[in-house]
Amino acid sequence: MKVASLSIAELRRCIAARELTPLDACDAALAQIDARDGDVRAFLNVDRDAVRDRARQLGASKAQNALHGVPVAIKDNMCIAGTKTTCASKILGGYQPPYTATAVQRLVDAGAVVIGKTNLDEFAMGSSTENSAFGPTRNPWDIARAPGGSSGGSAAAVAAGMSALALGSDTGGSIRQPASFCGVVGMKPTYGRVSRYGLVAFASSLDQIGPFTRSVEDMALVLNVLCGHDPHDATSASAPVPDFTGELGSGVKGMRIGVPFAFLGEHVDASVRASFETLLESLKREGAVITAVTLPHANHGLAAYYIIANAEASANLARFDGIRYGHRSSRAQTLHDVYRLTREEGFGAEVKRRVLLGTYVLSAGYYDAYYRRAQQVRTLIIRDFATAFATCDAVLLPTAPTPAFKLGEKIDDPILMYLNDIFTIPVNLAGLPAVSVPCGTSPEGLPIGAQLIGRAFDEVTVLRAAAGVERVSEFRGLAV
Amino acid sequence: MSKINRDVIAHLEQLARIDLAPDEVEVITAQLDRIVAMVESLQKVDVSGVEPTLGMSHEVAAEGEHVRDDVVVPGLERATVLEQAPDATREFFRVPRVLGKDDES
Repeated sequence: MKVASLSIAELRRCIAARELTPLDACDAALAQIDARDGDVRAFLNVDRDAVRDRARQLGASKAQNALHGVPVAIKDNMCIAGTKTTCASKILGGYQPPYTATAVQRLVDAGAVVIGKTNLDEFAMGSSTENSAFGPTRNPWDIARAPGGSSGGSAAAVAAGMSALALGSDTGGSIRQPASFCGVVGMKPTYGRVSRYGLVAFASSLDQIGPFTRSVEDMALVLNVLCGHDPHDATSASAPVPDFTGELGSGVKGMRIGVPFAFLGEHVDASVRASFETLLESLKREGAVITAVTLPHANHGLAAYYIIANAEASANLARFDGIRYGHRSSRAQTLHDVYRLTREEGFGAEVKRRVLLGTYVLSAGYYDAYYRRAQQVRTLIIRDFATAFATCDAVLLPTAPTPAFKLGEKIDDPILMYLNDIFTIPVNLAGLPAVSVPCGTSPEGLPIGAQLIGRAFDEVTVLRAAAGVERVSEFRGLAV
Repeated sequence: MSKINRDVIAHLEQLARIDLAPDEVEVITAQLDRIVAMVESLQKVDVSGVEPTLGMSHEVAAEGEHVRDDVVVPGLERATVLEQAPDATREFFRVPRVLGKDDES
């Protein structure tokens, strides 16, 4: 038994039975970081002494909470009091938040051990984790390839056995796409399910925190800890939180799985199409009913997203001005200089591009033509999903149009990069829950993910279908 | 038809308080022009009579149940906040002079 490859459910059982201590679990993760992270570079910061101290304390305690002794990696756009938070940007240089994100606190209160902070595209803007001020993360399946993004560090950490669990954030696919590229399970819960307090905001109407795990069962166990209303986040939902493990064993027999064949048709690479078609056949054999649905406006999701997300980003990132925290330009002679030079030096090219685009679509004379119109298209996409869910229980799509691409392959062409998120973006626009589950491998041996999308607050059904996909796919994770 | 040129970029730099480095201007101008052309596709969608979706919170706060009581609760200590500032006195954030011949705002 290799401890670093154990699922959360297995770790829990072993720790409860005293076959393993929390320190064994954390040492296995740290050893895996020593072995792999020189190449993969998933982590920006690992405090080994703090990890081992905390694991020892948990080992001495009699508590047996849901995540007792489970290592968790945190995307470095979530605050932990007294720990550097960078958002992979130079502009936050040295910032140590005085408070902890609610999502992180809930995991820690349940006994999880924060193993380190993970790399991301600067301010979560990107699909490859190449837009990091600290250099790219590499895909542990093939270090010449990107892990996806923006939560690429978290996905790579879980895939390579460097942590049993990680948190990411998903604004247009930033959890699901890297989960697909790295062969792990990654979920964006319904908008409002998980508090965003302490998550550095990118696009507030789209951002959602969610976990990476190695199994669907683990995903359900973690959601049980993570979800629920938080007085610090007025957009967090007070909808009742069910037991997310409830339907995992129910199977897909009789489930109506909706597939938007027309939307799918235009965008998919051959290896992804082949594994998707195999998956549909397998699900049918298990008794699922595959139903054709249409999402007539989903094609416009990408354009609507780049207006809405960047408009919100241009407002949210106004706070990085060199006054209250982080970097300030030493060239500044006047207040105006402080703003413009600090932001020139502090932001990378992708962030500048997006803030300028957001500024453009909100500027005088353009608001109605771009921003208001994008919000109207958002309404049409929400209606498309509502219509689809009248005839099915979950919608199934590939997570991404291709398996992991090579580092450097798309970084100079923003539009080509944005097309990665074509299947994930409509879900954020509609605020729905969706999970990526590994469903096959490409001829080169790279993982391919399937995405299951559900009704708002119906994660239980999404996870039931995901467990079905996991069962029929018999995907084998990276050997650790 | 190009919508984004050097003049538009200069205006956006001013609005967003971001200077582009000299080597960034040309590349970002060309890229933004392509991105704006991409989002132009929305002009083809029939949106007549469709209400805009302003945010997701409507779904969450439909019952008005998240309107908290209007009571003052303690925030962060002043010293804790100022500790993170690049420049501060014991009481205030400190910035360079606001008025001057170079100041455009």
